[in-house]
Amino acid sequence: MTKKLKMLQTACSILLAVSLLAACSGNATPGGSGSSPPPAATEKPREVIDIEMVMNSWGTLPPETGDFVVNKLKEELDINLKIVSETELMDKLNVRAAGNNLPDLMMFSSANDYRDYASRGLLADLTPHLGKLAQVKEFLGQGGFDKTTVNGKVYGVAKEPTLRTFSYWIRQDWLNNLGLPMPTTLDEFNDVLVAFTKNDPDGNKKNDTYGMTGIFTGLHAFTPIMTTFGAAPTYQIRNGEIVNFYSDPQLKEVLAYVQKLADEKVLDPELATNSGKMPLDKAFQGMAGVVYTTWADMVKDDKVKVWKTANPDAEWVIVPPFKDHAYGEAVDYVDAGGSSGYVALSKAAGSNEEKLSRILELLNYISHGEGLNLVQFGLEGEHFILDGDKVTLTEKSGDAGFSWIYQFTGRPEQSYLAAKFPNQVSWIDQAAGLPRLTVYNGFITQLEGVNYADRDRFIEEEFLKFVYNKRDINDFDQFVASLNSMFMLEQETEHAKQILSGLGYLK
Amino acid sequence: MVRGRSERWFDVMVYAVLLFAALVAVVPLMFVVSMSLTPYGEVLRNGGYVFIPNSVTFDAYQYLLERTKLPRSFGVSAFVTVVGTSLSLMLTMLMAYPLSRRKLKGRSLILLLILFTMLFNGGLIPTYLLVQKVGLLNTVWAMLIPNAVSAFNLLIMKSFFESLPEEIFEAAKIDGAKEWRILTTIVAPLSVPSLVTIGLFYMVQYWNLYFQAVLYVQDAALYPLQVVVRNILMMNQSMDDINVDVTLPTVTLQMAAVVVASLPMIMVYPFIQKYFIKGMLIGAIKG
Amino acid sequence: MAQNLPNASTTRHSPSVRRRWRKELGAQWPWYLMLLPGLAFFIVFKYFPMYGVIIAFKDYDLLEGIAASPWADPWYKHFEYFYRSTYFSQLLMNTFLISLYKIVFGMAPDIVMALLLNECRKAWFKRSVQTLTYMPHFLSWVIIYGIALAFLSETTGILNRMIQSIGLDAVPFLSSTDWFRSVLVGSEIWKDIGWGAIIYLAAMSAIDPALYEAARVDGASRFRMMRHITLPGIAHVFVLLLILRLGHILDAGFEQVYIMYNIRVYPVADIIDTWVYRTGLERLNFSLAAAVGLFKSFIGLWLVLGANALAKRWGQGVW
Repeated sequence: MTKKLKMLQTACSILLAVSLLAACSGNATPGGSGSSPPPAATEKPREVIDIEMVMNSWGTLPPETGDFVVNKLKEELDINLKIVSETELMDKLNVRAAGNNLPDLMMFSSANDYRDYASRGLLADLTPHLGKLAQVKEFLGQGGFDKTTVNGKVYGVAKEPTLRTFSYWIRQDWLNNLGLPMPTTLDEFNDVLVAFTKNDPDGNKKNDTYGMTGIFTGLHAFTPIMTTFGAAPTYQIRNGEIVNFYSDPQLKEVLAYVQKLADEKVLDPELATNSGKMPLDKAFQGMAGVVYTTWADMVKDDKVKVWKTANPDAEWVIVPPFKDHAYGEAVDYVDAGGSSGYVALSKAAGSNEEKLSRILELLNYISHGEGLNLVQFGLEGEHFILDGDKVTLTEKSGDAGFSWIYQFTGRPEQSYLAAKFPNQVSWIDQAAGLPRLTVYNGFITQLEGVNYADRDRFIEEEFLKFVYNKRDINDFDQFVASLNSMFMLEQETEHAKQILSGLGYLK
Repeated sequence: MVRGRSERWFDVMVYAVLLFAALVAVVPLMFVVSMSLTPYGEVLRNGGYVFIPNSVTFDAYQYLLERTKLPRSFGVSAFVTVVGTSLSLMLTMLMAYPLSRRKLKGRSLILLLILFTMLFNGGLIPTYLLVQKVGLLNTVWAMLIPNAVSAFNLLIMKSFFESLPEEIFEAAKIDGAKEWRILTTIVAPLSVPSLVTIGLFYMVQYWNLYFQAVLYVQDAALYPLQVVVRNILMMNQSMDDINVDVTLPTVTLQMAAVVVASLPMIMVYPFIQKYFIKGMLIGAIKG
Repeated sequence: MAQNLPNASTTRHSPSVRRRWRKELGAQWPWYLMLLPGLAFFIVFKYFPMYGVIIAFKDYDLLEGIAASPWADPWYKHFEYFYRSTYFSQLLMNTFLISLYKIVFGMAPDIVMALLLNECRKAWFKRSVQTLTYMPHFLSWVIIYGIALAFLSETTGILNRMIQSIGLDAVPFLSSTDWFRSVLVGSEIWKDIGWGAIIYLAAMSAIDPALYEAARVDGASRFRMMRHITLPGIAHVFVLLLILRLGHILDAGFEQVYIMYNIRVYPVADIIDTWVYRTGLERLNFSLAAAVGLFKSFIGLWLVLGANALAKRWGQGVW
C-alpha cells in the first residue's frame, strides 16, 4: 500500500474521532429548556413568574441583557416576560399545541387562526375575568372584546388596529411637466393616466412610462377607484343593507372602468406578477406615476432617500378623493372589525390562577399610563421626555426601537406616530384624514364547507379575464351565479348579516 | 490525421459548451454580488439591477455584522454543519457497506424499508412529538439527530460501494481481514470521491437547515444562519403594517445576506474537487 | 443464497438448513453490528412517527391528539374532498407534467455537464467552470425569482429590452401560460446543473483507468470512449437517481412554484402542494394534508416498485 492510502486511513480515523468527541461534548453546548424559574431572591411577598409569549416579530428581538421593558415588568409586576419570535408562527403553534406545550401567551396575526384555536378549546376562556381587564377595556373599548368573541365567549384581546393610511400617491412633478391639474374625478384620473403613459412625463424622449403600477390580487391597486364607486371588499352596510363585494352591482362598474384602463394600456402590464414591494420599486424607478400605498412606504426618511437618489426630481403627493363618487367620497376602506393581532392565553396558563391574574395585570399595565408609554417609547427621562401630554423623543430613543413588540394591546396610533415621526406628521395626518368606507370583515367568520383557497383563485382568475377582456363584462351576473352555486356566496352573505345583526351594526 | 482533426473539434466543442455554461451561471451571480455592493437608490436609478457597480459600498455587510444576529447564527450553523456532517457520514458509511454486500441476509428487506421512508412519513406532528419525548426540543441536537441519516445519500453511497471491484474483497478475505478493517482500510480509502460527495451533500443539508430549526428550537441563541437570512429575505413579502416600526431590508441587504450565507459552502468546494481525479485510487492500490 | 430463501420459508426447517442459516448469520454478525446504529435511527425517527398517517383517516383535532380524534366519516372523506375540489384534475395534471419535464429535461444536462468536465484537460479551466456552475445551487428561490425578474420581466427585464431593441414585442415569460413551465424547468436546470454533475463526476472517478488505456490502444476516439466506457460507468447512478425521482413524481417543487407563480399562470402552474398550502392556511386541516400526502406517496411507491423491477432486468435495481 502506498503512502497516500495510509494518509487516507488516518483521515478516516480522525473523522471517527471527531464525531465521537462531538457526541461526548454534547452537554457543553448551549441549550436548556428554560422552563424552570429561578428562585426569586427578593423580599417581595410575590414570587417572580416566568411568562412566555410567542409571536412573529420578523426577527426583531429584544436585547438579551438590559432589556428595560423586561426589567420594568419584573419590578412592577413580578413577571419575567420572555418573547419568542417565530417565523413560521402557525406551524410552530400547531406542533406545540399537539405536544400540549403551548406558550402562556400568543399573538395570532389572523382572526381565522385565533378563532380556530378558540373554538377547538385550546385557549383560556376570559369571559369570567373581563371585569379585571378594566384598563384594557378603557383603552380598546368594547370592540376589543367583540372582535374576539367566539360562540359567545371571549378568548382574547384584539390589538388596536394600525392607522389605515392607504391612498393613491401621484408624481406631482409629472403633472407639472405635462401642465395637468390634480385629477378630481375618475374621468380626469383616466386622462392623467393616459398622459402619463403616452406624453413622456419624465421628458426623456422614451416611451418608457406607465400610468399606474400596483398589485392585481384582490384588485388591490384599484382600491380608490373601487371605493369611489362605493364598492369595498368584502362586507359593508349600505343604506342599512348588507352588501357583499362580490355580488355588488357596483363591482361591475369598477371592473368596467379598470377594463378601460387596461384597454388604453396605461397599466403596468405586470400587475398580475407584482407582489410585495415590487410596485413601489417600479414607482421609485420612475416607471409609473401613480401607486396605491401608505405614507410609511413613501415618506419615511429612508424611503425618501431611496427615491430621491433614483430620481432627484421626483415629488410624490397624495391624490385627494374623487368627486364623482356613488356613495360618498372615499379613497379607501377601513375594517371596523379589524385588528393588528389577537392576544390569547393558552388553556394551561388560564387554569393557573396566579399566572392568569399576573397576565391580566400585564395586559392592563401596558394599556394605560406609564406602562403604555413604556411599550411605546421606552423609559421616561431616558428615551423620551413627557411635557404634559406631549412626548418628545430623546437622542437615546433609538435604543428603545424594539419596544413595539411589547405592544400586545396596541397603541394610540396617531399620537404614537406623531411622536415617532415628527418629520412625517403632516403626511400622516393628511393620509389618515381622508374619507374611507367602513367594512366589517373582522367580525365575519368563515362558512363551513367552502374551500376559500379555491374560491379566491376562481375570483382572481375571473377578475383577470374581465379586466383583460377575455370575458365580456356583461357576464358579470353569471359570474355571481357561479359564486353562488360553487362557493355558497348567498349563504355567506346571509351568515354575515346574522353576525352583524347580532352585534347591533345591522338593524 | 483525420482522427486528430476530429479530436480537436471534439475539444473545441467541449470548451465552447463549458464556457457557455460558465457564462450563463456567472452573469446572474455577478448581479447578486453587485447588488449587494450598490446602495439601493443607485440600483433603482439603474432600472432595478446592476452588473458592475460604479460606486461600491460595504454598508450592507457592515449592517449584517453589526446590527443583525447573523454572526452568532453563523457560529451555530458552523457547529451544526461540522458535527452533523461527521456524524451522518459515519453512520451512513457504516450502513452502506454491509448493504453493498450482496451476501448480506435480509438485504432486500432492509433496503426496501429504507426506501419506504423516502416515500412515506408520519408528518409534522408525530415527528415533533417524538423529538419532544426524547428530550431534544430546544437543543442543538434537534437539528442534528432527527435527520442524521438521509436515505437518499445512503442509497447513493451503497451504490458506489457496489461498484468497487469484487477482487479487492476476495484478496482481503484471504488476508483474514476483519470486516471493520475492510471498511476502514480498503473500502473507505478506495471510495474517497464518493465519501467526499456524500459528505458535501450532508454539509449542504446541515448548512441549509431551516425548517427543523424553526420547528424544534425556540431559543434565538440557537438559531442557525438560514433562519436569520430567511427573515431578511421574506420580510418584504409580508403585507403587514410592521413597516411603521421596522426598516424593511433593502435588496442590497438581502443580496449581501445571500452572499454571506453561501460563501462558506462555495469556498469549500475547490478543496473537494481535488478528490474527483480520475481513477487515482484504483491505480494506487493496483500499483 | 437466493435459492435458500424459498426453502427456508416453505418447508419445515430441517436441522441442516437451520444450522447453515445460523452459521451464515453468525458469520455476518459484524455487518449487522455496523447496521445497528443506522437501523436504530430509521426505526426510531422514521418508523416510529409513521403512526401519523392515520391522521388521513381521522378528523384530527389538536386538543384530542391522534389517538382520541374521531375517525373520518366516511373513512375516505379527506381523499374525496381533494378529489372533488374545483381544480383537482388540473392540479394533478400540472404536477405530473412539471415533474415529468423536470425529469426528462433536467437530468440529461447534469450528465452532459459531467461528461464535458470529465473530457476537459485543462485543470484550471475545469475547476473554474465546475465551481461557477455549482454556485447557483446556494441561492434560494426568492433570490432566483429576483434574478429571473431582472432578466425576464416584461417591462424591465434585460432580455426583453434586447428583444424590443430589435423591434420585436416583449415576451411575458413569467406571466404567460405558454412560457411559464419552461421558465420553471429552465431555472431549475440553471440552479442545479453544476450540483447535479457532482455525483456523476464522483462516479466517473471510480472508473478503472485500465479500461481507457485498453481502448486507447485499440485506437478508439474520445467520443467512443465516452460512449462505451464513461457512460456505462455512471449508468448505475443514473438509474438510481431516476428511480428515486420517480418516487417523488408528485412533488413538482413547492417552494419554486409558490414563489414564482401568479394568477395569470395558475392554469399551468398550480400544483398539488401549492393547493394544499393555500387550503391549509385557512383551516387547521391536518387530515387533508395527510390524505393528500398519502395519495402522493402511494403513486410514488408504485412507480418506484415498477421502475425498480424494470431496472432489475438489466441488473441495475436498487434492491
